[in-house]
Amino acid sequence: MIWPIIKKQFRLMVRDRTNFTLLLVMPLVLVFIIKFSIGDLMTQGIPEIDATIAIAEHTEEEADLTQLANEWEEQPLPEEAKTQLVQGLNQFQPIRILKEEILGSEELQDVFAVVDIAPEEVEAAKKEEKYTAIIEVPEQFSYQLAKSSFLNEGDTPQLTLFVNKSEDLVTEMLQDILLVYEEEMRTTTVLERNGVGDLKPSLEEIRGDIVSVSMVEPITSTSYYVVGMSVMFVLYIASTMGSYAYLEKRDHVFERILLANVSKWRYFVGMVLASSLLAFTQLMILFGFSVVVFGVTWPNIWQFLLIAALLSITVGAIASLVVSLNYRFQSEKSSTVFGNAIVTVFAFLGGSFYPIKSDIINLIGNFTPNGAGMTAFFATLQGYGMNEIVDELMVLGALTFVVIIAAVLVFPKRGEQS
Amino acid sequence: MLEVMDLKKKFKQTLAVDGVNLYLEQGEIVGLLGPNGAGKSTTISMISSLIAPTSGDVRYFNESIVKKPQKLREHLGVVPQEIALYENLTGRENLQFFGKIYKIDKNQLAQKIEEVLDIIGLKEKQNALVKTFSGGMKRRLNIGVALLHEPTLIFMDEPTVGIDPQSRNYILETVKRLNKEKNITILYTSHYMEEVEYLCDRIYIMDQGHIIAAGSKDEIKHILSAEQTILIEAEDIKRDWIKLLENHPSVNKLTAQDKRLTLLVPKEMDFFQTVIETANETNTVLKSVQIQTPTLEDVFLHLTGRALRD
Ligand SMILES: Nc1ncnc2c1ncn2[C@@H]1O[C@H](COP(=O)(O)OP(=O)(O)O)[C@@H](O)[C@H]1O
Ligand SMILES: [Mg+2]
Repeated sequence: MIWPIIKKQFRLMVRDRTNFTLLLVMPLVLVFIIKFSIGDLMTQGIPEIDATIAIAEHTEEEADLTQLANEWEEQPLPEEAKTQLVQGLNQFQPIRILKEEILGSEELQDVFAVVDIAPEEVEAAKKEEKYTAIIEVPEQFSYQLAKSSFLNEGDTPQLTLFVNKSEDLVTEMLQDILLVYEEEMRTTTVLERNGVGDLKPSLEEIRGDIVSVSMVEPITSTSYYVVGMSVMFVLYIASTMGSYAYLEKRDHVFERILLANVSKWRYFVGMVLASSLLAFTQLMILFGFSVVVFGVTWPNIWQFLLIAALLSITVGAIASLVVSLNYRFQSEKSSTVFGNAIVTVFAFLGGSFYPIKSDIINLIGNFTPNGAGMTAFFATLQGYGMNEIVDELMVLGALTFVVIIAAVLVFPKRGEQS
Repeated sequence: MLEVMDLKKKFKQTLAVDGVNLYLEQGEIVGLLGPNGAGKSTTISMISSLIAPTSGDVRYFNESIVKKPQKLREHLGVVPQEIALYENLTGRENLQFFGKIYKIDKNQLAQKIEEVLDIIGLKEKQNALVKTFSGGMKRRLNIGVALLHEPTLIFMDEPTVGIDPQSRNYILETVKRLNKEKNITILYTSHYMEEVEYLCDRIYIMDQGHIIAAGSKDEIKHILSAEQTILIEAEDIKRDWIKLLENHPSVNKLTAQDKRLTLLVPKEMDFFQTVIETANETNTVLKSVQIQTPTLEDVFLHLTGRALRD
């Protein structure tokens, strides 16, 4: 008999004008106000990827490759094999490919600016933090790589990546790119040597792998606040549900429910589900409206829905805790405190009002339901995949679990209440 | 069908219910009469399984409900003292919600709701929000909700407080009809003795946690058989006149209110003479002197020395 409870909560919510306005109209109005007053001032605070990458070559690719070609000429190999090797070598220019066809590709050229620097400048550049990242190409890189790729001789040489610590996002992207790059350069040339396919398609593959990374969109102030306000105002579902439940207790309606042989726990589960569904509905209305009015669209709808669902369940859990506290203390205080103080603090920590610069607050903020939800929504908005939001989803899951347990413990057992 | 044995409830300091014994037989209307704070609601809460007694037992068809309330709850309707309704739902929506949590199936529920709306006379207003209802209408719906699952036993806790006389009469008639036509057993709690006197076959009078009298109407009034009530109205009631009467050896109890005096005196005695004499002595102008047949109010006064309504 949980469904009637859920249906009834929806009815109560719709009839409750003031709350209805607070939950649905207020956040959108706030986004409007922000959009037209401070407008783009805020965009500065929003992470946009704009990285300059320095490449320091301790080697000359052309000289390397010429040297190798010459060596091969002198080898006691059949002429046919020699020609094939040299032909392969002509297409094999790993540094040029990295610079021009990968980092300089259409997809990535807006993200990364590539600058050549002299090897002697590297130390100074590291200190100055002038570049987002520095890639060092070791001596005889192309020579060694070709040798190990074509003939399986010697070690595979490694590029050295130096990154400026403050740029996590870029670091991750670059690491991914280089990993794929090195992997592909090695394996595809082995295949090439065996005469399967040619090098071009494998380059496409590299780009394919990194294209999702390159799709990263900057977050506009409008989408920032659409998300910020939505994850903040969805928290009010918890205080509202707490208040409704308190009224049920105060007006003895709860006793009527018990008299119908509905157990306390069934009622409790009804409350969690009703709150979660209400939260989800609220998010859908807010985000749906934002698609139409603010043009905030989601590249991956399923991932978006997953975050919204999980956040809603967390809100349901918090609602049950507020309900439990109201029952335990026979007052509406917990609802008031949660609605008036805690939501505001959470919203601040989570960055709903403005992007937080402090690392510590950011860290704490990511453990609030709204903060975790917001980070996950932003990543999704920017085109990141599931891998990038696993942490946030885990935080939401863990919060739900802990809060539900607390709520169950706080909820008065039979005989504990009068 | 229901038996209450030595029921006690202690809230921190207050002993709200102190050793209550009572029983209900099928088909009866039983009254539980007592002033505010007597412990009526606490008793009702315990026997409807909502709060656990500090000690004592409640048995429904010989089975204790304290640990296993399910069976009682199936057949019990409770009309709480408070308006236990959703103000922001309509009358009909309230009935629907409570009907559904009682697991009444859809078609049957629709039919049942019509029937209940008929009984409580709220057909026309069924689609208005409860918060727009008058006090009387809320009280009626409060009763209606308790009727949906066809209970065989109903506890009503002061179902008529704070409403107009018309609604009150309607409710009293409804209670009588439910008992007559559907043979529902009713425990009716009130601090209005007229209601209890009008409705009930048997009556328990409760005060300060105790049952101080029990029995049929006549049995209870018999407590007063040795006394009669004399009601006096005068132009002005003087202190020395009250003194004179109070000191009279035959006056058992005296209450004065504005221009009215109530005296309890032995039945056989002709007290008229004394009233007139003493009035003359103190220059009191009498307007009327009446001998009253005893009411439950008088019984209560006799038993406790206090008026039922303070
Ligand atoms: N939950 C409670 N906590 C403490 N005291 C209570 C509680 N409920 C009732 N009481 C006290 O118990 C006594 C009986 O109250 P109640 O049963 O409501 O009387 P009635 O219904 O006859 O007016 C009163 O003194 C009241 O203050
Ligand atoms: Mg009461």
